[in-house]
Amino acid sequence: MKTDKDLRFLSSCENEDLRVLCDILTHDRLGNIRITEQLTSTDEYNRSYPEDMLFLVPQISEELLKYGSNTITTFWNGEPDTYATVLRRICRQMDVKTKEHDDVKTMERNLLTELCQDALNKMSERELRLLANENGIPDKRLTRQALTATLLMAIRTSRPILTRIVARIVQYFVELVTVRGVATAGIETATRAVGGALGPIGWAALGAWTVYDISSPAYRVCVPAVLQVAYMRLNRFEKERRVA
Amino acid sequence: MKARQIMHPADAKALQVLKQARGFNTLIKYFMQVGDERIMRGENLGTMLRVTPDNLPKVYAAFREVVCRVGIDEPELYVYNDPVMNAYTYGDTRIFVALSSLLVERLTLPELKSIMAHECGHILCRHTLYKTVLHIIEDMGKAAQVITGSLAFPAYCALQYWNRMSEYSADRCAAAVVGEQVFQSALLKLTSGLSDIQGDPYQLVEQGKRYYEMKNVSFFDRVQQACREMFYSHPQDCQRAYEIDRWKSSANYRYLTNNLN
Repeated sequence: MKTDKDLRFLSSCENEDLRVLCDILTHDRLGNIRITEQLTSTDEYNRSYPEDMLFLVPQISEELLKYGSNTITTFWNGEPDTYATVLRRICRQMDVKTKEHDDVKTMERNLLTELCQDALNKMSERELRLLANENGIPDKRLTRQALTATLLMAIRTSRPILTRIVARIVQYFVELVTVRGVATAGIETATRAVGGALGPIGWAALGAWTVYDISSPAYRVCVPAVLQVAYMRLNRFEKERRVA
Repeated sequence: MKARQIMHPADAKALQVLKQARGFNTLIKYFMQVGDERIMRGENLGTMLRVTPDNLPKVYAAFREVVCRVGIDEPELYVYNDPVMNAYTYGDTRIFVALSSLLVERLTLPELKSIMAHECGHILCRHTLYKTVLHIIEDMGKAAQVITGSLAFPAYCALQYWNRMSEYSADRCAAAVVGEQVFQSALLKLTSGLSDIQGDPYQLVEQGKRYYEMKNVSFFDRVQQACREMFYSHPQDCQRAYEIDRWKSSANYRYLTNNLN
Protein backbone atom coordinates (compact mmCIF):
# COMPACT_ATOMS: atom_id res chain seq x y z
CA MET A 1 0.00 0.00 0.00
CA LYS A 2 1.45 3.38 -1.09
CA THR A 3 1.14 6.27 1.36
CA ASP A 4 0.43 9.77 -0.02
CA LYS A 5 3.66 11.83 -0.01
CA ASP A 6 2.08 14.52 2.16
CA LEU A 7 0.99 11.98 4.75
CA ARG A 8 4.29 10.08 5.07
CA PHE A 9 5.24 12.26 8.04
CA LEU A 10 2.54 10.44 10.06
CA SER A 11 5.04 7.58 10.48
CA SER A 12 7.09 9.82 12.77
CA CYS A 13 4.17 11.04 14.90
CA GLU A 14 3.26 10.01 18.40
CA ASN A 15 1.11 6.95 19.02
CA GLU A 16 -1.54 8.91 20.94
CA ASP A 17 -1.98 11.49 18.15
CA LEU A 18 -2.36 8.71 15.58
CA ARG A 19 -4.89 7.02 17.81
CA VAL A 20 -6.97 10.20 17.96
CA LEU A 21 -6.84 10.44 14.16
CA CYS A 22 -7.85 6.81 13.82
CA ASP A 23 -10.75 7.27 16.27
CA ILE A 24 -12.03 10.28 14.31
CA LEU A 25 -12.14 8.09 11.20
CA THR A 26 -13.77 5.08 12.83
CA HIS A 27 -16.10 6.40 15.54
CA ASP A 28 -18.49 9.33 15.94
CA ARG A 29 -18.77 11.75 18.87
CA LEU A 30 -20.95 9.30 20.82
CA GLY A 31 -18.50 6.44 20.39
CA ASN A 32 -20.62 4.62 17.80
CA ILE A 33 -18.76 2.99 14.96
CA ARG A 34 -19.10 4.81 11.61
CA ILE A 35 -21.16 2.77 9.18
CA THR A 36 -18.98 3.51 6.14
CA GLU A 37 -15.57 3.03 7.77
CA GLN A 38 -13.40 0.17 6.54
CA LEU A 39 -10.51 0.31 8.99
CA THR A 40 -11.72 -1.70 11.96
CA SER A 41 -12.21 -4.91 10.01
CA THR A 42 -8.63 -5.01 8.72
CA ASP A 43 -5.95 -7.36 10.07
CA GLU A 44 -3.65 -4.38 10.61
CA TYR A 45 -6.21 -2.68 12.87
CA ASN A 46 -6.65 -5.89 14.88
CA ARG A 47 -2.91 -6.18 15.34
CA SER A 48 -1.94 -2.56 15.87
CA TYR A 49 -4.75 -0.66 17.58
CA PRO A 50 -4.25 1.00 20.04
CA GLU A 51 -0.63 0.35 21.03
CA ASP A 52 1.33 0.15 17.76
CA MET A 53 -0.39 2.76 15.64
CA LEU A 54 2.68 3.37 13.46
CA PHE A 55 1.98 0.08 11.65
CA LEU A 56 -1.46 1.38 10.79
CA VAL A 57 -0.33 4.61 9.09
CA PRO A 58 -0.84 3.43 5.45
CA GLN A 59 -4.37 2.24 6.26
CA ILE A 60 -5.23 5.44 8.16
CA SER A 61 -3.96 7.57 5.26
CA GLU A 62 -5.97 5.61 2.73
CA GLU A 63 -9.12 5.78 4.83
CA LEU A 64 -8.76 9.55 5.26
CA LEU A 65 -8.33 10.05 1.52
CA LYS A 66 -11.32 7.82 0.77
CA TYR A 67 -13.49 9.90 3.09
CA GLY A 68 -12.24 13.05 1.38
CA SER A 69 -12.88 11.78 -2.16
CA ASN A 70 -15.97 11.04 -4.17
CA THR A 71 -16.66 7.28 -4.03
CA ILE A 72 -17.67 7.06 -7.69
CA THR A 73 -14.53 8.93 -8.80
CA THR A 74 -12.39 6.73 -6.55
CA PHE A 75 -13.95 3.61 -8.07
CA TRP A 76 -13.42 4.97 -11.60
CA ASN A 77 -9.80 6.05 -11.03
CA GLY A 78 -8.90 3.03 -8.94
CA GLU A 79 -7.53 5.26 -6.18
CA PRO A 80 -8.71 8.19 -4.06
CA ASP A 81 -7.66 11.83 -4.57
CA THR A 82 -4.33 13.05 -3.22
CA TYR A 83 -4.12 14.66 0.22
CA ALA A 84 -3.42 18.05 -1.40
CA THR A 85 -6.67 17.80 -3.41
CA VAL A 86 -8.67 16.73 -0.36
CA LEU A 87 -7.16 19.56 1.71
CA ARG A 88 -7.93 22.16 -0.98
CA ARG A 89 -11.54 20.88 -1.11
CA ILE A 90 -11.87 21.19 2.66
CA CYS A 91 -10.41 24.69 2.67
CA ARG A 92 -13.05 25.67 0.11
CA GLN A 93 -15.76 24.03 2.22
CA MET A 94 -14.64 26.01 5.28
CA ASP A 95 -14.24 29.31 3.40
CA VAL A 96 -10.47 29.37 3.88
CA LYS A 97 -8.74 31.28 1.08
CA THR A 98 -6.20 29.28 -0.93
CA LYS A 99 -4.16 30.09 -4.02
CA GLU A 100 -3.79 27.69 -6.91
CA HIS A 101 -0.12 26.94 -6.24
CA ASP A 102 -0.25 26.89 -2.42
CA ASP A 103 1.51 23.86 -1.01
CA VAL A 104 0.06 21.58 1.69
CA LYS A 105 1.87 23.31 4.56
CA THR A 106 0.57 26.75 3.56
CA MET A 107 -3.00 25.51 3.16
CA GLU A 108 -2.86 23.73 6.52
CA ARG A 109 -1.45 26.79 8.26
CA ASN A 110 -4.21 28.94 6.77
CA LEU A 111 -6.78 26.39 7.87
CA LEU A 112 -5.44 26.28 11.43
CA THR A 113 -5.19 30.07 11.65
CA GLU A 114 -8.79 30.34 10.52
CA LEU A 115 -9.77 27.73 13.07
CA CYS A 116 -8.00 29.64 15.85
CA GLN A 117 -9.61 32.94 14.85
CA ASP A 118 -13.01 31.31 14.85
CA ALA A 119 -12.39 29.77 18.28
CA LEU A 120 -10.95 33.00 19.77
CA ASN A 121 -14.02 34.94 18.69
CA LYS A 122 -16.20 32.41 20.52
CA MET A 123 -14.17 32.38 23.78
CA SER A 124 -15.25 34.24 26.92
CA GLU A 125 -13.06 37.06 28.29
CA ARG A 126 -11.90 34.85 31.14
CA GLU A 127 -10.80 32.10 28.71
CA LEU A 128 -9.01 34.67 26.54
CA ARG A 129 -7.09 36.07 29.54
CA LEU A 130 -6.13 32.55 30.61
CA LEU A 131 -4.83 31.80 27.11
CA ALA A 132 -2.90 35.08 27.01
CA ASN A 133 -1.28 34.34 30.39
CA GLU A 134 -0.30 30.85 29.29
CA ASN A 135 1.48 32.31 26.27
CA GLY A 136 3.24 35.13 28.15
CA ILE A 137 1.09 37.92 26.72
CA PRO A 138 0.39 40.74 29.26
CA ASP A 139 -3.37 41.21 29.44
CA LYS A 140 -4.19 43.47 32.41
CA ARG A 141 -4.83 46.71 30.54
CA LEU A 142 -6.43 45.14 27.49
CA THR A 143 -10.15 45.07 26.72
CA ARG A 144 -11.73 41.93 25.27
CA GLN A 145 -11.44 43.25 21.71
CA ALA A 146 -7.82 44.29 22.17
CA LEU A 147 -7.00 40.94 23.76
CA THR A 148 -8.53 39.07 20.83
CA ALA A 149 -6.60 41.23 18.36
CA THR A 150 -3.33 40.67 20.26
CA LEU A 151 -3.84 36.92 20.31
CA LEU A 152 -4.71 36.92 16.60
CA MET A 153 -1.52 38.85 15.84
CA ALA A 154 0.49 36.38 17.95
CA ILE A 155 -1.03 33.45 16.07
CA ARG A 156 -0.09 34.98 12.72
CA THR A 157 3.47 35.88 13.67
CA SER A 158 4.59 33.20 16.11
CA ARG A 159 4.60 29.51 15.21
CA PRO A 160 5.18 28.34 18.84
CA ILE A 161 2.16 30.33 20.02
CA LEU A 162 0.08 29.04 17.12
CA THR A 163 1.11 25.47 17.99
CA ARG A 164 0.26 25.92 21.68
CA ILE A 165 -3.11 27.50 20.95
CA VAL A 166 -3.94 24.94 18.28
CA ALA A 167 -3.13 22.15 20.71
CA ARG A 168 -5.65 23.61 23.17
CA ILE A 169 -8.33 24.34 20.62
CA VAL A 170 -8.11 21.53 18.06
CA GLN A 171 -10.00 18.91 20.06
CA TYR A 172 -12.74 21.38 20.97
CA PHE A 173 -13.08 22.48 17.35
CA VAL A 174 -13.07 18.95 16.00
CA GLU A 175 -16.17 18.27 18.09
CA LEU A 176 -17.76 21.54 17.02
CA VAL A 177 -17.29 20.71 13.35
CA THR A 178 -18.73 17.25 13.88
CA VAL A 179 -21.89 18.68 15.45
CA ARG A 180 -22.25 21.18 12.57
CA GLY A 181 -21.92 18.34 10.08
CA VAL A 182 -24.71 16.39 11.74
CA ALA A 183 -26.99 19.46 11.77
CA THR A 184 -26.38 20.05 8.05
CA ALA A 185 -27.20 16.43 7.29
CA GLY A 186 -30.55 16.90 9.09
CA ILE A 187 -31.45 19.85 6.86
CA GLU A 188 -30.57 17.86 3.74
CA THR A 189 -32.80 15.00 4.82
CA ALA A 190 -35.76 17.37 5.24
CA THR A 191 -35.15 18.90 1.79
CA ARG A 192 -34.99 15.45 0.27
CA ALA A 193 -38.34 14.56 1.80
CA VAL A 194 -39.81 17.56 -0.06
CA GLY A 195 -38.24 16.24 -3.29
CA GLY A 196 -40.09 12.95 -2.77
CA ALA A 197 -43.43 14.74 -2.96
CA LEU A 198 -42.72 16.13 -6.46
CA GLY A 199 -43.79 13.02 -8.37
CA PRO A 200 -41.78 10.90 -10.88
CA ILE A 201 -39.52 13.73 -12.12
CA GLY A 202 -38.80 14.65 -8.52
CA TRP A 203 -38.08 11.01 -7.69
CA ALA A 204 -35.57 10.71 -10.54
CA ALA A 205 -33.81 13.91 -9.49
CA LEU A 206 -33.95 12.76 -5.88
CA GLY A 207 -32.42 9.38 -6.75
CA ALA A 208 -29.53 10.98 -8.65
CA TRP A 209 -29.01 13.50 -5.87
CA THR A 210 -29.02 10.86 -3.15
CA VAL A 211 -26.54 8.64 -5.03
CA TYR A 212 -24.22 11.59 -5.58
CA ASP A 213 -24.66 12.83 -2.02
CA ILE A 214 -23.87 9.56 -0.29
CA SER A 215 -20.84 9.07 -2.53
CA SER A 216 -19.45 12.61 -2.15
CA PRO A 217 -16.79 13.53 0.41
CA ALA A 218 -17.90 12.93 4.00
CA TYR A 219 -17.06 16.33 5.45
CA ARG A 220 -18.23 15.53 8.95
CA VAL A 221 -15.47 12.92 9.11
CA CYS A 222 -12.69 14.32 6.95
CA VAL A 223 -12.81 17.92 8.24
CA PRO A 224 -11.91 16.96 11.83
CA ALA A 225 -9.47 14.36 10.48
CA VAL A 226 -7.66 16.90 8.30
CA LEU A 227 -7.54 19.37 11.21
CA GLN A 228 -5.94 16.67 13.33
CA VAL A 229 -3.39 15.94 10.56
CA ALA A 230 -2.62 19.67 10.22
CA TYR A 231 -2.13 19.95 13.96
CA MET A 232 0.13 16.87 14.01
CA ARG A 233 2.32 18.30 11.23
CA LEU A 234 2.58 21.66 12.97
CA ASN A 235 3.42 20.00 16.26
CA ARG A 236 6.11 17.86 14.64
CA PHE A 237 7.79 20.82 12.94
CA GLU A 238 7.70 22.75 16.19
CA LYS A 239 9.42 19.87 18.02
CA GLU A 240 12.06 19.58 15.28
CA ARG A 241 12.65 23.33 15.45
CA ARG A 242 13.15 23.18 19.22
CA VAL A 243 15.63 20.32 18.88
CA ALA A 244 17.55 22.20 16.16
CA MET B 1 -16.95 -7.67 29.88
CA LYS B 2 -18.58 -4.94 27.80
CA ALA B 3 -20.50 -5.54 24.58
CA ARG B 4 -18.34 -3.15 22.61
CA GLN B 5 -15.19 -5.08 23.54
CA ILE B 6 -16.42 -8.13 21.68
CA MET B 7 -18.67 -6.68 19.00
CA HIS B 8 -17.61 -7.39 15.45
CA PRO B 9 -17.56 -4.10 13.47
CA ALA B 10 -20.04 -5.41 10.91
CA ASP B 11 -22.42 -6.44 13.70
CA ALA B 12 -22.09 -3.05 15.43
CA LYS B 13 -22.82 -1.19 12.17
CA ALA B 14 -25.84 -3.32 11.27
CA LEU B 15 -27.21 -3.08 14.81
CA GLN B 16 -26.86 0.71 14.70
CA VAL B 17 -29.06 0.79 11.61
CA LEU B 18 -31.63 -1.56 13.15
CA LYS B 19 -31.79 0.48 16.37
CA GLN B 20 -33.05 3.47 14.41
CA ALA B 21 -36.44 1.77 13.95
CA ARG B 22 -37.49 2.68 17.50
CA GLY B 23 -41.26 2.25 17.29
CA PHE B 24 -40.86 -1.12 15.65
CA ASN B 25 -38.43 -2.24 18.36
CA THR B 26 -40.85 -1.26 21.13
CA LEU B 27 -43.60 -3.21 19.40
CA ILE B 28 -41.44 -6.32 19.12
CA LYS B 29 -40.36 -6.00 22.77
CA TYR B 30 -44.00 -5.80 23.85
CA PHE B 31 -44.86 -8.75 21.62
CA MET B 32 -42.03 -10.76 23.19
CA GLN B 33 -43.04 -9.95 26.77
CA VAL B 34 -46.75 -10.68 26.48
CA GLY B 35 -46.57 -13.50 23.99
CA ASP B 36 -43.48 -15.27 22.82
CA GLU B 37 -41.47 -15.28 26.06
CA ARG B 38 -44.32 -16.81 28.06
CA ILE B 39 -45.04 -19.37 25.37
CA MET B 40 -41.35 -20.32 25.23
CA ARG B 41 -41.11 -20.56 29.02
CA GLY B 42 -44.09 -22.91 29.06
CA GLU B 43 -42.45 -24.95 26.29
CA ASN B 44 -39.13 -25.11 28.14
CA LEU B 45 -40.65 -26.13 31.48
CA GLY B 46 -42.90 -28.61 29.73
CA THR B 47 -40.52 -30.36 27.36
CA MET B 48 -36.90 -29.67 28.41
CA LEU B 49 -34.70 -30.50 31.37
CA ARG B 50 -33.90 -27.49 33.56
CA VAL B 51 -30.27 -27.48 34.69
CA THR B 52 -29.93 -26.66 38.41
CA PRO B 53 -27.23 -27.14 41.12
CA ASP B 54 -28.88 -30.48 41.99
CA ASN B 55 -29.48 -31.55 38.44
CA LEU B 56 -26.44 -31.90 36.15
CA PRO B 57 -24.27 -30.10 38.77
CA LYS B 58 -21.11 -30.02 36.62
CA VAL B 59 -22.91 -28.44 33.69
CA TYR B 60 -24.56 -25.94 36.03
CA ALA B 61 -21.25 -25.03 37.71
CA ALA B 62 -19.67 -24.49 34.28
CA PHE B 63 -22.58 -22.29 33.27
CA ARG B 64 -22.34 -20.23 36.48
CA GLU B 65 -18.65 -19.68 35.83
CA VAL B 66 -19.28 -18.52 32.27
CA VAL B 67 -22.12 -16.19 33.31
CA CYS B 68 -19.88 -14.63 36.01
CA ARG B 69 -17.06 -14.06 33.52
CA VAL B 70 -19.32 -12.50 30.92
CA GLY B 71 -20.98 -10.40 33.62
CA ILE B 72 -24.66 -10.87 32.79
CA ASP B 73 -27.65 -11.82 34.97
CA GLU B 74 -27.96 -15.59 35.13
CA PRO B 75 -30.40 -16.88 32.52
CA GLU B 76 -32.26 -20.19 32.93
CA LEU B 77 -30.40 -23.14 31.39
CA TYR B 78 -32.14 -26.10 29.73
CA VAL B 79 -31.08 -29.28 27.95
CA TYR B 80 -33.35 -30.65 25.23
CA ASN B 81 -33.35 -33.98 23.46
CA ASP B 82 -31.85 -33.60 20.01
CA PRO B 83 -29.44 -35.74 17.95
CA VAL B 84 -27.98 -32.55 16.38
CA MET B 85 -25.32 -30.47 18.19
CA ASN B 86 -26.94 -27.10 18.67
CA ALA B 87 -27.71 -24.39 21.22
CA TYR B 88 -29.78 -21.22 21.30
CA THR B 89 -30.87 -18.36 23.50
CA TYR B 90 -34.08 -16.35 23.56
CA GLY B 91 -35.85 -13.63 25.54
CA ASP B 92 -35.65 -9.99 26.44
CA THR B 93 -36.79 -9.93 30.07
CA ARG B 94 -36.83 -13.69 30.91
CA ILE B 95 -33.84 -14.96 29.02
CA PHE B 96 -32.92 -18.63 28.73
CA VAL B 97 -30.20 -20.73 27.11
CA ALA B 98 -30.96 -24.18 25.67
CA LEU B 99 -28.37 -26.84 24.83
CA SER B 100 -29.03 -29.98 22.79
CA SER B 101 -28.39 -33.32 24.51
CA LEU B 102 -25.78 -34.37 21.93
CA LEU B 103 -23.82 -31.20 22.59
CA VAL B 104 -23.59 -32.01 26.31
CA GLU B 105 -22.55 -35.58 25.54
CA ARG B 106 -19.97 -34.98 22.82
CA LEU B 107 -18.11 -31.89 24.00
CA THR B 108 -15.63 -31.69 26.83
CA LEU B 109 -16.50 -29.32 29.67
CA PRO B 110 -14.23 -26.46 28.41
CA GLU B 111 -15.71 -26.87 24.92
CA LEU B 112 -19.22 -26.84 26.37
CA LYS B 113 -18.28 -23.63 28.21
CA SER B 114 -17.32 -22.13 24.87
CA ILE B 115 -20.83 -22.84 23.51
CA MET B 116 -22.39 -21.41 26.68
CA ALA B 117 -20.18 -18.31 26.39
CA HIS B 118 -21.25 -17.94 22.76
CA GLU B 119 -24.91 -17.81 23.82
CA CYS B 120 -24.07 -15.45 26.70
CA GLY B 121 -22.35 -13.24 24.10
CA HIS B 122 -25.68 -12.93 22.27
CA ILE B 123 -27.32 -11.91 25.55
CA LEU B 124 -24.59 -9.37 26.35
CA CYS B 125 -24.91 -7.74 22.91
CA ARG B 126 -28.74 -7.83 23.13
CA HIS B 127 -29.11 -9.68 19.86
CA THR B 128 -32.27 -11.55 20.82
CA LEU B 129 -34.68 -8.72 19.98
CA TYR B 130 -33.70 -8.54 16.31
CA LYS B 131 -33.37 -12.28 16.00
CA THR B 132 -37.04 -12.41 17.00
CA VAL B 133 -37.94 -10.07 14.13
CA LEU B 134 -36.04 -12.35 11.79
CA HIS B 135 -37.87 -15.42 13.06
CA ILE B 136 -41.23 -13.70 12.67
CA ILE B 137 -40.45 -12.89 9.01
CA GLU B 138 -39.24 -16.47 8.51
CA ASP B 139 -42.40 -17.90 10.08
CA MET B 140 -44.54 -15.63 7.94
CA GLY B 141 -42.69 -16.94 4.93
CA LYS B 142 -43.20 -20.57 5.89
CA ALA B 143 -46.88 -20.09 6.70
CA ALA B 144 -48.02 -17.94 3.80
CA GLN B 145 -45.10 -17.66 1.35
CA VAL B 146 -44.95 -13.97 2.24
CA ILE B 147 -41.19 -13.61 1.82
CA THR B 148 -40.72 -14.62 -1.77
CA GLY B 149 -41.37 -11.75 -4.13
CA SER B 150 -42.71 -9.47 -1.43
CA LEU B 151 -41.48 -6.25 0.17
CA ALA B 152 -40.28 -8.28 3.15
CA PHE B 153 -37.57 -9.95 1.05
CA PRO B 154 -34.94 -7.15 1.19
CA ALA B 155 -35.64 -6.70 4.92
CA TYR B 156 -35.26 -10.43 5.41
CA CYS B 157 -31.93 -10.51 3.54
CA ALA B 158 -30.64 -7.51 5.52
CA LEU B 159 -31.63 -9.12 8.82
CA GLN B 160 -30.11 -12.42 7.78
CA TYR B 161 -26.83 -10.61 6.98
CA TRP B 162 -26.87 -8.96 10.41
CA ASN B 163 -27.70 -12.34 11.96
CA ARG B 164 -24.54 -13.82 10.47
CA MET B 165 -22.46 -10.86 11.66
CA SER B 166 -23.91 -11.17 15.17
CA GLU B 167 -22.54 -14.72 15.35
CA TYR B 168 -19.01 -13.32 14.99
CA SER B 169 -19.55 -11.15 18.09
CA ALA B 170 -20.85 -14.14 20.06
CA ASP B 171 -17.85 -16.19 18.88
CA ARG B 172 -15.54 -13.48 20.20
CA CYS B 173 -17.23 -13.75 23.59
CA ALA B 174 -16.63 -17.51 23.56
CA ALA B 175 -12.99 -17.12 22.58
CA ALA B 176 -12.43 -14.49 25.28
CA VAL B 177 -13.96 -16.68 28.00
CA VAL B 178 -12.38 -20.05 27.21
CA GLY B 179 -9.42 -19.11 25.00
CA GLU B 180 -9.34 -19.26 21.24
CA GLN B 181 -7.83 -22.74 21.04
CA VAL B 182 -10.70 -24.34 22.97
CA PHE B 183 -13.13 -22.40 20.79
CA GLN B 184 -11.45 -23.76 17.65
CA SER B 185 -11.63 -27.34 18.91
CA ALA B 186 -15.34 -26.96 19.80
CA LEU B 187 -15.98 -25.55 16.34
CA LEU B 188 -14.17 -28.51 14.75
CA LYS B 189 -16.48 -30.89 16.60
CA LEU B 190 -19.57 -28.91 15.60
CA THR B 191 -18.45 -28.99 11.96
CA SER B 192 -17.56 -32.65 11.81
CA GLY B 193 -20.08 -34.02 14.28
CA LEU B 194 -17.30 -36.20 15.72
CA SER B 195 -16.65 -36.54 19.43
CA ASP B 196 -12.91 -37.01 19.17
CA ILE B 197 -10.77 -34.74 17.01
CA GLN B 198 -7.08 -35.47 16.66
CA GLY B 199 -4.47 -33.39 14.92
CA ASP B 200 -4.42 -29.71 14.09
CA PRO B 201 -7.05 -27.64 15.98
CA TYR B 202 -6.55 -24.85 13.41
CA GLN B 203 -7.63 -26.94 10.42
CA LEU B 204 -10.72 -24.76 9.90
CA VAL B 205 -8.60 -21.59 9.93
CA GLU B 206 -6.57 -22.99 7.04
CA GLN B 207 -9.77 -23.93 5.24
CA GLY B 208 -11.02 -20.38 5.83
CA LYS B 209 -7.91 -18.93 4.19
CA ARG B 210 -8.33 -21.24 1.19
CA TYR B 211 -12.02 -20.33 1.00
CA TYR B 212 -11.32 -16.57 0.86
CA GLU B 213 -8.57 -17.15 -1.72
CA MET B 214 -11.05 -19.02 -3.87
CA LYS B 215 -13.81 -16.46 -3.31
CA ASN B 216 -11.63 -13.49 -4.19
CA VAL B 217 -10.33 -14.79 -7.51
CA SER B 218 -12.85 -12.74 -9.52
CA PHE B 219 -15.95 -10.58 -9.17
CA PHE B 220 -18.03 -13.48 -10.48
CA ASP B 221 -16.68 -15.79 -7.76
CA ARG B 222 -17.53 -13.25 -5.08
CA VAL B 223 -21.10 -12.85 -6.34
CA GLN B 224 -21.57 -16.59 -6.75
CA GLN B 225 -20.43 -17.38 -3.22
CA ALA B 226 -22.37 -14.42 -1.76
CA CYS B 227 -25.56 -15.72 -3.38
CA ARG B 228 -24.93 -19.13 -1.86
CA GLU B 229 -24.37 -17.67 1.61
CA MET B 230 -27.25 -15.18 1.41
CA PHE B 231 -29.84 -17.31 3.20
CA TYR B 232 -27.53 -18.86 5.81
CA SER B 233 -28.40 -18.02 9.41
CA HIS B 234 -24.79 -18.49 10.55
CA PRO B 235 -21.48 -17.76 8.84
CA GLN B 236 -19.80 -20.89 7.55
CA ASP B 237 -17.65 -22.62 10.16
CA CYS B 238 -14.40 -21.95 8.31
CA GLN B 239 -15.24 -18.22 8.23
CA ARG B 240 -15.96 -18.26 11.97
CA ALA B 241 -12.67 -20.00 12.69
CA TYR B 242 -10.78 -17.58 10.46
CA GLU B 243 -12.40 -14.50 12.05
CA ILE B 244 -11.45 -15.62 15.55
CA ASP B 245 -7.93 -16.37 14.37
CA ARG B 246 -7.68 -12.77 13.12
CA TRP B 247 -9.22 -11.33 16.29
CA LYS B 248 -6.84 -13.18 18.62
CA SER B 249 -4.10 -10.67 17.79
CA SER B 250 -6.25 -7.70 18.87
CA ALA B 251 -5.80 -5.63 22.02
CA ASN B 252 -9.36 -6.42 23.12
CA TYR B 253 -8.72 -10.17 23.03
CA ARG B 254 -5.48 -9.79 24.96
CA TYR B 255 -7.14 -7.55 27.53
CA LEU B 256 -10.12 -9.85 28.02
CA THR B 257 -8.13 -13.08 28.29
CA ASN B 258 -5.73 -11.48 30.77
CA ASN B 259 -8.49 -10.06 32.92
CA LEU B 260 -11.20 -12.73 32.71
CA ASN B 261 -9.10 -15.85 33.24
